Amino acid sequence: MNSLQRMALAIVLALPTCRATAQDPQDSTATFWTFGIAGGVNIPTGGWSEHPYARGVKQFGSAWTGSAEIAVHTSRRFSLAIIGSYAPLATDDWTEYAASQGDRIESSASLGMVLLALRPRPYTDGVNAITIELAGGVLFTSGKESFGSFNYEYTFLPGVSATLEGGIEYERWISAEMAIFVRGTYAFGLADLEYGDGRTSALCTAPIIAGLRLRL
Amino acid sequence: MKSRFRSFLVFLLLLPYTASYSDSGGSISVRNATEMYLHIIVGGDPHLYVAPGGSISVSSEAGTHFISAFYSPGQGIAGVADTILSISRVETQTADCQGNECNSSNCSSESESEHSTSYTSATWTVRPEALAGGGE
Repeated sequence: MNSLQRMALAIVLALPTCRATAQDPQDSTATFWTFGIAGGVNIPTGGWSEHPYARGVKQFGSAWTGSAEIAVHTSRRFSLAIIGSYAPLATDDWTEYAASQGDRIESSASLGMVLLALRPRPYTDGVNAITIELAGGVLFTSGKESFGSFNYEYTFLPGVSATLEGGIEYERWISAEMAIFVRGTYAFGLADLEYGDGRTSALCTAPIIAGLRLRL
Repeated sequence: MKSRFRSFLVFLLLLPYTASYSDSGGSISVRNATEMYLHIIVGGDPHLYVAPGGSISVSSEAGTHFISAFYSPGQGIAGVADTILSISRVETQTADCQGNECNSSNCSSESESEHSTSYTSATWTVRPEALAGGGE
């Protein structure tokens, strides 16, 4: 048995223990608060992430994302959260393409969100829970590029705009004080990208994250 | 009549830079007459990925405005062109309070005449020849 197999066996053996020690965090009717942190991958989707004329080139590609949240659990079936997240947008596909065409550019871009989320919980057995997330808030985008003697901002990005988000989460309480979760969401900005000559493109993105939630 | 003639002369003088008049400020238009995408910088504000045949229009105050246009990167072609466009403020004295043409005989005082302010507009059409020979 190699080390990986031993580790897997240890995790499998530990799970019933976790379940046994975990208490239903929603047992109490009292409101409680949690703080969570998470990380994962942010996947820009749709035409906005494609380069305007370089076919098959991602101007804004997938990269890591991080988020933090504070949530108030008002009942066994509902919680309310404020979430902040940040995600750089990968530009290496675009810069490598430009280099292949003889143009040396440097580029960077990022995306951030501050959301107020409503979280109804259609399923919970006290340890495992499935949560729906419906959120709205503010989306921040920025980017810049240098090309020869020119340095310019990506003014076609919407900058600050309203955003809506929806998603689903699986949560497992591994103790009375701590839960782990996996969440997939889809967000879209209410303002489009707008290129110099008025062409527009809708901004959509799909973060997939895993994290840890601590009862305060 | 003299006033109309004077306005016409002003219009003729500004014709190279004039496409339209506006009360709230002038405008600068830049048209991409090349077959490639352009980045256009107007007074430091970038307008990126202007498609072939596309154009931008920017509101601007009176004065001179420095404009650069260059081939957007990644197209396998390099070229830069610059120009300076001027936006002028035009004051015109058009009519008196009776709606007649204003002149010294029918305007009893300065306050009876109507003054209007307009701004010229300017257009730059970027052609491949302008960008040829310019390196990035």
